[in-house]
Amino acid sequence: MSFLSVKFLAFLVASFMFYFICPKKFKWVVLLAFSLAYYYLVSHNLIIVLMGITLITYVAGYLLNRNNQKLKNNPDKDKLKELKDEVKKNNKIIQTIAVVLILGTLVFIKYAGFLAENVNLLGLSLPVLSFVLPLGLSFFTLQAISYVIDVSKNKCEGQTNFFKFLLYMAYFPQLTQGPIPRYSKLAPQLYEGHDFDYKRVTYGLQLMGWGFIKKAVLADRLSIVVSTIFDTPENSYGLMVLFGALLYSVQIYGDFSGGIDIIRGISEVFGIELEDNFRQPYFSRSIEEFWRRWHITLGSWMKDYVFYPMSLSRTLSVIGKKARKVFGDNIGKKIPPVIAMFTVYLLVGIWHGASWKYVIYGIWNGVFIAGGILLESKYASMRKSFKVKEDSKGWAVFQMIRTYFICSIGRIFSRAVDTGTAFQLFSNMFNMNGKSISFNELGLDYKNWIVAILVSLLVLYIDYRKEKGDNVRDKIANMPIIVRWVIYYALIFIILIFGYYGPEYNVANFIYGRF
Amino acid sequence: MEKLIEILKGVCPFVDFEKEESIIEDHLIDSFDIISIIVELNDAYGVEISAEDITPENFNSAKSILELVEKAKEQ
Repeated sequence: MSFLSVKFLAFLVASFMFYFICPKKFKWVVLLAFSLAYYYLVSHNLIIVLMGITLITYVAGYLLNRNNQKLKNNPDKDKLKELKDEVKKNNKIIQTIAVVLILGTLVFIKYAGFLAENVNLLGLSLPVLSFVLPLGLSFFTLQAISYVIDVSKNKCEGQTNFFKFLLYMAYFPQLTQGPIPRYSKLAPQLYEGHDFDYKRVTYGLQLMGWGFIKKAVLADRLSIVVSTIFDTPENSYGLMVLFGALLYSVQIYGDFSGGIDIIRGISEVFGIELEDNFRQPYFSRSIEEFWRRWHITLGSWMKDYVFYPMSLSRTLSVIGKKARKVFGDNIGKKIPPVIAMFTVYLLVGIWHGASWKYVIYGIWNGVFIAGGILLESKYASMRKSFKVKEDSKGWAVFQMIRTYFICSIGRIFSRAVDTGTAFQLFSNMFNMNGKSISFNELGLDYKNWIVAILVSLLVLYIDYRKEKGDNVRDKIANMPIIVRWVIYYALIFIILIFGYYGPEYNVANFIYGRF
Repeated sequence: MEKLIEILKGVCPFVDFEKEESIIEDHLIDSFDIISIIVELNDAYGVEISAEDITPENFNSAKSILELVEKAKEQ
């Protein structure tokens, strides 16, 4: 049931109606019922995986909670230290078991086949298992792990009501492609129940509309061209590959950020504020900055649960000390965080899917980021010798374009159908003599190109305004009512004419729905 | 305090931790130094200073770092 199908829109309208009609106390039950219905309609029996992970996580949270309560209930100061150590030790055991079970499920379902295939190269003959991925597996497992660790560290109180916890895990708008939430921020909003608020509901619908435009009008149009270039590598050489890669960056931004806008818009109608996953990523001046602005909730999850624990670990501290002796203080102190960061980008790559192409995609990003940190002083002296004015607009624009190119070229690996094709396309890019498909055969006629270009420019302009600190949505809301309605109608007509009834193709699935 | 200064100097020998009171604002140490400092403090005092404690206020002076260690000891 695609977000852009009439079936989903009917489902959504029904969920809004029931939510607002129902008494405040039971609104969360409406959300739970619709969430489970949505999951079952899309994934059928695979709902068992979601239920299983939810049960494991709930039990872990319950036990951790009970442990943490011991500290609150014990006023005996003499024994406090002893008790703290005991609670910490027990929490660690519960946390480890839960994380192993959750992560184990993810690895088994998503990566078992890939791992077996590669181990078999060493001469073994393990069975190569292949499973259909349950909807949102990569998202709700991360959300479960963060919950267990947060309750274990007493950063939030565990949920005692299983059904309320199930809602946190299954909340239907964000289940398919995030944003990856944190329990302390999302859960209270799910349970409290919100009344109908005209302004909030129109804001939500407006955001959904904008998301639909980015997804259906822009991304789905570009996906035709991108598929033509990427799926027939024998017809793509030189600048055509580069063009495809640059275009894919626009497509995936429209697809993913459009999807997130729809999800955040739906939630806003319910009165639930989800974190934004993007902050104008193509205005980034380095790859490192790009990853702070792109898929923000995955980045912040990795930062909190992988990067810092690794950077602050004993093992890396020992490596850091040795590195200081060998490379000097300046480089040596950077080694532990760089190792942790490289691991993060490798995991981000692998998180996208079980294939070497994603591993290479992770390494591509990791190498640029680690290189940027370790060679910082070299780059600084190079800039000095080339007399680069670092605060000039020209330099900033150059850095943004450079980041866009590096990022897009790396994405050849994530977009290509398989690792072999990715390498073929990558080498084709440097072959200027190969015969590429002609521009007219890419799949879009000039009218559709104009629509795609205009919407791209509109997305770029809105991001530019946001980058300048403008609140575009408030500005629209404060416009005279006639202008506002002209904008809203334009939004609806653009979606209807250019989204659904424009080019004759089916609505493509969301790219991040696959991960 | 002496033990703390010794640890801090071990990580960043060029910073005068006895006098400086705006270490972060004056960019005397960077985020990599902070990570090294936390690792050393966690080791030396058997505490668990975590990523959430990385704020400019906590690392602006030896005094504030000591307060951070004391707070971590109580947890």
